[in-house]
Amino acid sequence: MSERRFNPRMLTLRREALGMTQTELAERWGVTQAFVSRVEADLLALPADKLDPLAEQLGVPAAFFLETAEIHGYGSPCFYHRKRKSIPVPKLRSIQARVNILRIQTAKLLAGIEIGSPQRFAPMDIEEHGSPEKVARLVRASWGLPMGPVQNLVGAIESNGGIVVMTDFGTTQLDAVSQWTAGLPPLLFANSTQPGDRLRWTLAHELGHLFMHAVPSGNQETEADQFASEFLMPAREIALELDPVTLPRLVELKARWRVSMAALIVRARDLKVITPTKCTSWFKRISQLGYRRIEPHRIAPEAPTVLRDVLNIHQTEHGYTTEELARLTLTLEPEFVEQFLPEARGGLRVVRPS
Amino acid sequence: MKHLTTKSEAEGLLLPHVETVQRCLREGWEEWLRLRDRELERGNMYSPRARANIVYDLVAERARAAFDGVEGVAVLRKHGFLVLLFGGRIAMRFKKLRPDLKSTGIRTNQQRLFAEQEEMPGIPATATFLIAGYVLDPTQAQIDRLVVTCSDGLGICWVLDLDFARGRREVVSIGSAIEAPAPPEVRSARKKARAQKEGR
Repeated sequence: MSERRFNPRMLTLRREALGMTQTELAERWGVTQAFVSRVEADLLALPADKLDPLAEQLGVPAAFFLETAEIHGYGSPCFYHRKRKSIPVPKLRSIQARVNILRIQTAKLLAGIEIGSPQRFAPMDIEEHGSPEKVARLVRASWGLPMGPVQNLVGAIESNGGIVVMTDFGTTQLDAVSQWTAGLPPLLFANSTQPGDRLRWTLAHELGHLFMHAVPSGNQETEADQFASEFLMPAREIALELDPVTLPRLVELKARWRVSMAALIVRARDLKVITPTKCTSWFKRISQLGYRRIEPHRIAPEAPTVLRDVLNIHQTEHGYTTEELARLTLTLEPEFVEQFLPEARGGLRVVRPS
Repeated sequence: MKHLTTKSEAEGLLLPHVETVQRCLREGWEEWLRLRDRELERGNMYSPRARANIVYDLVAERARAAFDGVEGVAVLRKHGFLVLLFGGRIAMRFKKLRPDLKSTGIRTNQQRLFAEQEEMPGIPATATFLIAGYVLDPTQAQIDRLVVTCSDGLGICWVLDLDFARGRREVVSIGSAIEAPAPPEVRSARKKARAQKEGR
């Protein structure tokens, strides 16, 4: 393996994905922190004998560090995320690195695959169309969604050219990251630990970014929320159903529109079905009942199908073994199974004689 | 006034049948949830009163089938509702109850007679009237308690908890998991290229 081809950015990416500092890596690797720093900064060529120990410490095949794909960060026009305010920066950086790796892996899996869905993602200018709500209505129309609730949002995204990748971010503080880079379909990486109603809102929010924010703007999070609200709960259709707001009605509307009770209350306020004061008292009430932390009456999460079908083709038609697929995606088999074949994970059990 | 069956007497009489009573209530409610989900998908929502009537019919039908031919239990349809007669000493009907365990809805004369343990034609005069009831949680979408209550003209005399639900409440799913209408077709590009190369 040539030293010239070692990509120091992949080292940084993997280290950050694992949430490891340079000092921690240096200790494990048996080098100094200064050495790690210089290798990452591309000031020092990696000696050939250091590559395999590095790969071993970071739990990837050595080929991982030869990858030359682009790496994108928050704030770049092709990288958006939906997070809560309190998430620490190191965690955010770790997730950013993991998502970049997932994107690289997804791209490798998509090679040699054709997806039959038409590409109906196209950037739309808010100023040209008037408001995020109008963009949402246009997207619904261009996707041919019927009136009423979006029955299966994940299915709608994948039927119109996007791909949803479920992954455990290891925190509940970040819900999703979306990326739309050259040569790949729009990718929406969603935290697999969130409930079904939150997942739908998160994905609709990310859709808003993908359609409206080809160039990042200061107001983009609010705009993405406005898009999500209209996309999942069109004003003309839901306003009448929201009146009057009662607890049993919120539950029924949650089941029908597949959004959280909290989202319905906010929607009722925004559509002036209830006053802002009433909205506040509703939030106090559901908080007292413990519903702010865990809402009752879970919505079943929707499952993406594209990546599952891609893997199925690689296994059945292309004849790949799990180990080969792991190698293809620059990872080791257990990590590959954990991310891409979680249902296979349960099949491996140690059977002890009784 | 007739002698009312005590709580411990009722426990003894009902012991062989408690699970069946619970099952009828639970299954009736679950059937309602399935019906509600189907109707919600069509945009139809029912009033609390309509829901209570439907749940009652679903529970009563299950009780009629479950207790038909059971020794020591008679299934009667009297005064517009189903009555289960246990050993001639307990006459039980099904009702939705409020969190304070009182009946909901408009109080009819039949309900008043039942609640006040007054004589009702067709039901043995010595039988104590009990209500097997379900109490919903604040969202009205989940059963919070299943109880048997005994009341007289002054109020509730005793309550027997049929408590399979309480204490192990969980977040239940609502709405059926909806499949994507037509998932995109995913195919091998290599296979296609190979076929083209081979002139197929």
